[in-house]
This record gives sequence, structure tokens and C-alpha cells, in this order.
Amino acid sequence: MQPPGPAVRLHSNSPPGDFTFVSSTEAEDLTGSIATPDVKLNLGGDFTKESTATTFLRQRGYGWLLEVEENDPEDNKPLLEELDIDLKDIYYKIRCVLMPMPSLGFNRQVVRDNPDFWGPLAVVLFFSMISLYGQFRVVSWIITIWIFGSLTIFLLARVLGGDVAYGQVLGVIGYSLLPLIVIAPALLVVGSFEIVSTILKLFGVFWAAYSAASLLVGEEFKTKKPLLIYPIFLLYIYFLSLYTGV
Amino acid sequence: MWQAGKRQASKAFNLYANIDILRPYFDVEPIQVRNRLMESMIPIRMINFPQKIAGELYGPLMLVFTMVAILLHGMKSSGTVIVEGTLMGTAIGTCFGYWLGVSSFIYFVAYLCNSQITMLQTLSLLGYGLFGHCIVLFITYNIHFHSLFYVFWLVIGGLSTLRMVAVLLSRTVGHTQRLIICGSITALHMFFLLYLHFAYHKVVEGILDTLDGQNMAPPFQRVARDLSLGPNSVLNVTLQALPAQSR
Repeated sequence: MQPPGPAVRLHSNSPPGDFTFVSSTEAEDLTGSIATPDVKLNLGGDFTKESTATTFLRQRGYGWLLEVEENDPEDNKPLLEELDIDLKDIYYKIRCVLMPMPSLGFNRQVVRDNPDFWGPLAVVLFFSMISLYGQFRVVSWIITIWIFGSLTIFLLARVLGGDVAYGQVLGVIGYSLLPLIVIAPALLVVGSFEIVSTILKLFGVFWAAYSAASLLVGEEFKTKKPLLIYPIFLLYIYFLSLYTGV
Repeated sequence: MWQAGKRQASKAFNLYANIDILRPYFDVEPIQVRNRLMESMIPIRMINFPQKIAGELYGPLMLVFTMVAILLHGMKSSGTVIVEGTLMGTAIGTCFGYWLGVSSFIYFVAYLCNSQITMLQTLSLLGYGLFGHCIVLFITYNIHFHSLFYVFWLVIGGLSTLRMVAVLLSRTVGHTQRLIICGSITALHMFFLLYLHFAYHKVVEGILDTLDGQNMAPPFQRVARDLSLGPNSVLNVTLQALPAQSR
């Protein structure tokens, strides 16, 4: 196959690498030809038997409408992996939050330093499920309080000189609802004794607030620690109040 | 792509810049907050010289949040049922509405009366004034005595109101102006405490009264009234027709 001939060729007595123009009148025949490339237009997949609609669409140039995408190998990943849900990690964090004593040997900072979104969301949704009985509006309130309460805590923490990200606060506040979930069934049992249930509620709120505060309120706050612990404590009072009736 | 990235970046930058804007209003030491809480109950009789008001919002914000929690407790213990709406929304709306609404109103009145006070100072003053309310409500939602509430209302609520009045007096010139601004803030502040107490406390009071059983008011009864059958012809016709129908 010859390339289509331009009227340019390497002259024999010029230095190699130089192009010179030659007149096309005295030159020999410079014609060439291009072999037809072996290309098939594939506009619509290989249907052996095509309906009239398909032919019609293809004629009009809309054959691509009927194309089916081939499966990406990435789509075959399991859903949990796709959504970054790490169940083992979540289980470890849940245990960290439920047992906030430093003596138990959990590496609790994981909850703060390695925030995920699905664990806290699951915890918050579970908490709203158990609060749901007889009050449908509670779910939206719990999620609203979670998001905006965390935002308030985050802003206060930043303003008071801490160094946290909003995602971390959201995660820690969400996970720390677990103690309230734990005391909820107990509240059902002792509901008739007012003093016992009050003590139990206080215990639950302190447990949750201690769990969250010990993670969020680091050493960098120095003397200002109470200023951040107090709003966290109030936030869990709100959550418990939503549980007992929105 | 570049546009979107730029917008994202500027938004993030704005957020962090805004946090720094907030910093002077919220960056306090615990001991400062404690002292200001104490001072909010101590009226100072020094009205010749403008008294200082700290332009700080941490304390007021926390007091409003505390009052929301106390109100929720009061609503729960009194069994308040709100038909259209939620307890949470009502409590938050009441507290923030009072704080922001009355602050704006006082600021407006102060503007009319030519007081030297900024909006920030109004918010801070009224916010710390809520400390007395929080104490009174927290105690009286748990201990149900009528007389106790009135004593607390006058003493603790009165002290925190007096403190605000003293500050405003020292920053206003002229008798009429002083009277207007102090009268309005006193009325609003004291009646708000009364309202909060009785709105979410009544049911418990009612139960206590029925338990006592002695000073129980007689329930409302339907009493047959005399109908004057004079000029009302329609009623007369109806009354005559009714026995006929029942036969």
C-alpha cells in the first residue's frame, strides 16, 4: 500500500533529511491508492433478527438507544464494600463506646480518628426505631437534633480552640447514643417507679455524655473542658427527651 | 470542573472563616462564665455611669439550651399534650423566640429611647437574665408548692430583672425614656416566667387540688336557662311543633 502521494520527495543529491519540491510535470506518475480498511460499523449490537422498530431507529441514526452496556467488573463488588461499610470496624467502635472505661484496654481513639458515616447513621436510625412507638414525628426530630446538635458542638469545639472535623463530631455523637439504646428496655421495665426511672435516665445520660465527651474533649481544651462537656450533656438530655415523648 | 472546584474551595474557606468570625463571641473561660452567672443575680445601684456589658454569647446560648431542657422536663412531668406540633419544637421555639424576639424588641425600644446599647449587648444581657428563670423553673417544676413559686418568682426572677433594669438605667438618659424601657423589659421578663410556670405546670396543680379534695371548685354544669318567649316567633313555633312531632 502506497501512501497518498504528496508532491514532495527526497531528492537524491540533496543532503539526507531535506525535502525539496519537484515539479509535477516532469515527475513520474505519483498516483497511489488507499486500500479500504476492514472496518465494520457497529451501531446497534449484533441482533440477528431485528424488529422493524430497530431497523427504523438504526436508519435514523438512533441505534445507540438500543445498546446494552457491558458489565463493568467494578460493579460486581459486594454492596458492603461498595458503600465502604466495614462491619468489623463498626462492631469494634460499638464496643468502644459502650465500655468507656480506659482500663478495659480498647483503643478508643479509633472512633474519633477514623470516622465513618454508616455506623452512626445505623445507631441513630435504630434509636429512632425504638422511640417510634406511637409517635411518627420522632424520627425526623432525632435526625435533625443529631445533625444540628453535632453542628453546634463542632462550632463550639472549633471556636474554643479544638481541632476536630464535622464528620468526627457527627460520628462520635451518633455512636454515643448507644448507652441510651441500652437503657431504653430497662426504662420499660421500671417505668412505674418514678424514682428508679429518673435515676436510670440520669445514669444513661451521664454514660452517653461521658462516652462522647471523653472522645471529643481532648487535652487541647485545657481549662475550657467544662464549656464543651455541658452542651454535649444537654444534647443527650434532648435525645432522651425525644425517646420518652417527642 | 475548575469552576466547581473553586466554588467548593471557597465554600470550605468561607465556613472556616466564619468560625473565626464567631470566635470572639464564644471564646470564654469557665471562670468568666461562672462570674457572669453570679453577677446576673446581683443588681448594682450605680446608674450615673454606664455599666459594662460583656458582649459574649456562650453563656446566653447555653442558658437558652438549658431552659429548653427544663421546659421539656416540665412538659413531660405535667403531661402536656400539644395537638399540632411537638414538645421539642414548642420548647425550642418558645425559648429561642423569647430570647431573640424580646432582644430585638428591647433593642428597638432602646433605639427609640436613645440608650447606649448594641444588639450584641442586648442579647447577652437578656440571655444572662434567663439564669434566674432557669433556677426558678427547675425548682418549681420539681417541688409543687404554689407559695414557693411566688416567693421564687419575686425574689430570684425579680433579682435578675432588677439587674437588667439597673444596667439599662445606667445607659439611658431621661426619665420618660428610662421608664419606658425599664417598664417594658420588667413586664416582659416577669410575665414570661409566670407564663412558663403555669402553662406547663397547671395539670399537676389540678391533680394536687383534686387530691386535696377540700378546696376543689365545683365542676361546670349545664344550667337550664329561662327562655323568654316574647318576640321570638320562630322559637315559639318550633317549641310548639316539637311536642306535636314527638307524639
